[in-house]
Amino acid sequence: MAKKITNTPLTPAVLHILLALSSEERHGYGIMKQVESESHGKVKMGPGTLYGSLGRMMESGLIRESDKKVDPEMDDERRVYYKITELGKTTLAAELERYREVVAVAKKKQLAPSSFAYGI
Amino acid sequence: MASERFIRRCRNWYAELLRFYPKAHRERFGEGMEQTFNDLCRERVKAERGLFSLALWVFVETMAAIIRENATIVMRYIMNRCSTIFLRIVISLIAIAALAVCVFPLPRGVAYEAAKTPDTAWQIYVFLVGAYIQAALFLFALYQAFKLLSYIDRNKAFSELSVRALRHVKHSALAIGLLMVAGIVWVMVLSAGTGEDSAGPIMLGLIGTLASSVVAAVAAVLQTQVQKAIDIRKEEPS
Repeated sequence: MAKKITNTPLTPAVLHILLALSSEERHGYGIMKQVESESHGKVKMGPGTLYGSLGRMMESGLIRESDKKVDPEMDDERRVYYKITELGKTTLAAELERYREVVAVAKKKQLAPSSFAYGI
Repeated sequence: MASERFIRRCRNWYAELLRFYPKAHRERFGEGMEQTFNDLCRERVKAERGLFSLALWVFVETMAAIIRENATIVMRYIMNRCSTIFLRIVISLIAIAALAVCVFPLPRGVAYEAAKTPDTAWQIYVFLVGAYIQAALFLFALYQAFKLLSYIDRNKAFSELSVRALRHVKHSALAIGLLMVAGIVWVMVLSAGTGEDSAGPIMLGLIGTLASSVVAAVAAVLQTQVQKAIDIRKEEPS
């Protein structure tokens, strides 16, 4: 199972949702806002994409439903909160590791041209 | 306050839209999606920005998601081997029904009509020929669909064979549609000036044209999707 996780790249939506949930449990709107602020407004997820991804992520056990409760900062409507699972955490860690490797390679490649640039 | 009322109305419309989701998804996320939509609207109002563009964006985005969710369900259903057997039976029954119509009522009806107007009997026989060509194309398309199901059963759904079968279905549907159009034109030309009421046959022809173009469109979409999946697999041999 662990091998399978490391081999599958996550879709951008899934990655962002996992990142948003990694610090604390959130409701749908909370996830949306967190993703937006973490990506500096670059990633704008609509409810369709968000809840579609949430459904698939729950099916594969990356997240689960937490409680249904009132958000004191919003209004008195009760909202379902979503929480990252252990599997979700390991998947996120594996994905970030993949990114780290890619960035490391990219950095290494950039060193060569910039050293030439210094020579000129 | 006026905006509060507008938000509530939008939320009701949004709830209506959510009814098009598959039942399981709607029951699980419907309320949450409504709340999220509501929250987005309120945030917009607080920032004193227009609601219309937000509502439009969310509606379009959700519609796209609805189509995707339903397509997933349909694909899963088709991928299920049990359901291909069911679909095979349905296809076989349709084929038998079409053959039966071709063998018994169609020639008899045409002969009856021809006997009524012996002078213009040739016109009706032209129709009979057209109908038989269409029936042949229809049976051919059914046979291709049958073949496609057997590819799915043998786990060869994403192969050039399926693409070819889908292409055949598309072409037969297009040909049937064109023949229908030709038939409509033929009826209009013949009935022009005679004062005969030809609305019935023309209506039937239009429905047939519509149905066959829908079939052709679905086959074309599936064909490109399958082709895309094959291309992706070729790029990633793992």
